[in-house]
Amino acid sequence: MTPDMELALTARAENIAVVRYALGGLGEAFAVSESKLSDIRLAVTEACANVVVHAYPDGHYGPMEVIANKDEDTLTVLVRDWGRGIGPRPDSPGLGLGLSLIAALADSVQLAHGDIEHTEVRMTFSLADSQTSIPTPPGTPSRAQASGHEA
Amino acid sequence: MTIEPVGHAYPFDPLEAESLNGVTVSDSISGEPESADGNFVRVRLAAGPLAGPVLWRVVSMVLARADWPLERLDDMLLVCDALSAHAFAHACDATVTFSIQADKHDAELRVLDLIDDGASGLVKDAVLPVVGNVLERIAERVYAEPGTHCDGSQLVLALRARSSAHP
Repeated sequence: MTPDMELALTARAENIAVVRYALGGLGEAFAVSESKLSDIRLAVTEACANVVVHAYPDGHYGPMEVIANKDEDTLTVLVRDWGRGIGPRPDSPGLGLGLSLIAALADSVQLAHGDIEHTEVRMTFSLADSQTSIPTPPGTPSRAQASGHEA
Repeated sequence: MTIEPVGHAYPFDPLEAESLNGVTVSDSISGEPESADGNFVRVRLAAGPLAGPVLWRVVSMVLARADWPLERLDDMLLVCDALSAHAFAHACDATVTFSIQADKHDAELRVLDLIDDGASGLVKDAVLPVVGNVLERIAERVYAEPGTHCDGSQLVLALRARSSAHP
């Protein structure tokens, strides 16, 4: 299965902003409501923050992937790393609310530690009833059309 | 709401982790590859409505973070529109991978996974009335390299933050 989007970045704090901004494309492409998009962004941000803070030893920056796929009315987002996995961390600098927050925002959450040494958080979001139907005036060109690049 | 373990389930073809930093700004472009570690993003997109918005957002974010001027971000909107509109017609399969790496002076945008002659075909397609070829007008260098996938090609755009088009 080929997802709609796969982002591969270094697990650095500043790259979380790249992920958040990229997810905004969902709203543009699929007319996801702003409130739903906010939930998605917050949940994915938390998952990415977990990678940045916990996955790799201090001072080391490993890879982080964010994969998104829309199927019918469901959006699935995976956040994946190749770090030390999910486990208790007594010296955690956070409040420990990340996974709980993700669980509250997503319709389902699954955690996995795969056989290629990756850890992933898989979130699904129902987009039913959350997609806005903003009518486009007849003749309004898309951005690509406006720039003459419509395929 | 429950959190469930999924074992080794692996629904998508993964990007190889070890190739994350496989593309770096070459010395010929940047002269000082200071951001080889950080300001690099790779994105693989399927053909569809998400491609254009996501590509533009990723590219503009990377360049903005490298303190590129606003007029160059505007330029890159045209570039991303052209690439997202035409790259899939020259792709090995239904996806195209883009990589962007930037520092405050230079950036390198690559379009990977193109068929043989796909890079040159993509450049030929990126022509706007009056403006001409968008890629060649905006990038300092546009060239093709052998691809690593399907024996194809990749298109490389070398860009400078201060373009001669915006003195």
